[in-house]
Amino acid sequence: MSTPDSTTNLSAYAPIVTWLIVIIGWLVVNNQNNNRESRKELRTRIDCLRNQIEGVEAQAIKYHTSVHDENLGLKIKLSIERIANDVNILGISLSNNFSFLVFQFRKSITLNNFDSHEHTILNADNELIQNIASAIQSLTIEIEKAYGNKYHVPWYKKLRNKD
Amino acid sequence: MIKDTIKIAEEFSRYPAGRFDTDGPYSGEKFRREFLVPAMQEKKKICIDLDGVRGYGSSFLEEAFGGLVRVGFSAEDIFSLMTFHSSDPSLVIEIRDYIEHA
Repeated sequence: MSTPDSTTNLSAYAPIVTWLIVIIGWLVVNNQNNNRESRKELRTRIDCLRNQIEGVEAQAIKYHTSVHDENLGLKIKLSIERIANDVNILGISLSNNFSFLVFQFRKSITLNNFDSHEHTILNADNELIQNIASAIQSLTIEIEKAYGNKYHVPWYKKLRNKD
Repeated sequence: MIKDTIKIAEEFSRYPAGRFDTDGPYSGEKFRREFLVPAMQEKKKICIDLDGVRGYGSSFLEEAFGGLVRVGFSAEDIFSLMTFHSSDPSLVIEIRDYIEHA
């Protein structure tokens, strides 16, 4: 049972508690807003990267299914280099496998029938073209997986992973 | 005299391309013949700096580095004498793969 004195003491703390709740609430909301903005920013960068990758795919198919075009070959190599660099500064932790997938991506396009005086015009159903599509698919899946792991993991799983 | 570091962009070309000499003036075959083979023959430890080039084609990399194994150097000797530097880790993985599987 509370005495008149203890009631007076508790009421003295009431404004402090109120302010604490307000400050904590503000911190939580601010943190959530920041996270939402970071997520949107990263999503935009990933979408841009995916567009670049799809652009390279279209260029590579054109390169291999048309007569030799040195300028297009150079453009493709530059784009691949840009993608490899952009991926490294994306701000998501990628698996160790990721550099291997970038290598497979480059290899699928530029190992055979590339920068060669014996350039052959390939059919769209050629194995090389299929391999390009497959390498690109693996790469984009890995990027989406890394994004998903950063933002779509339930909080209790994140805590478990920290342990 | 062979330097400790070979900067491909500065000493060979910013635009290396192609596998064989017939594919262009800065092919993998030429780079191997003029830079890598002499360094291997002297058994000199060198670092290959891959940065600064305007994009590598895998055909160039495979012929230059995988080709070293085909001309008679063992993968162990290559790895003991050569190190690779690049801001893009996938390039180093690719080169190592070509040497291991040539």
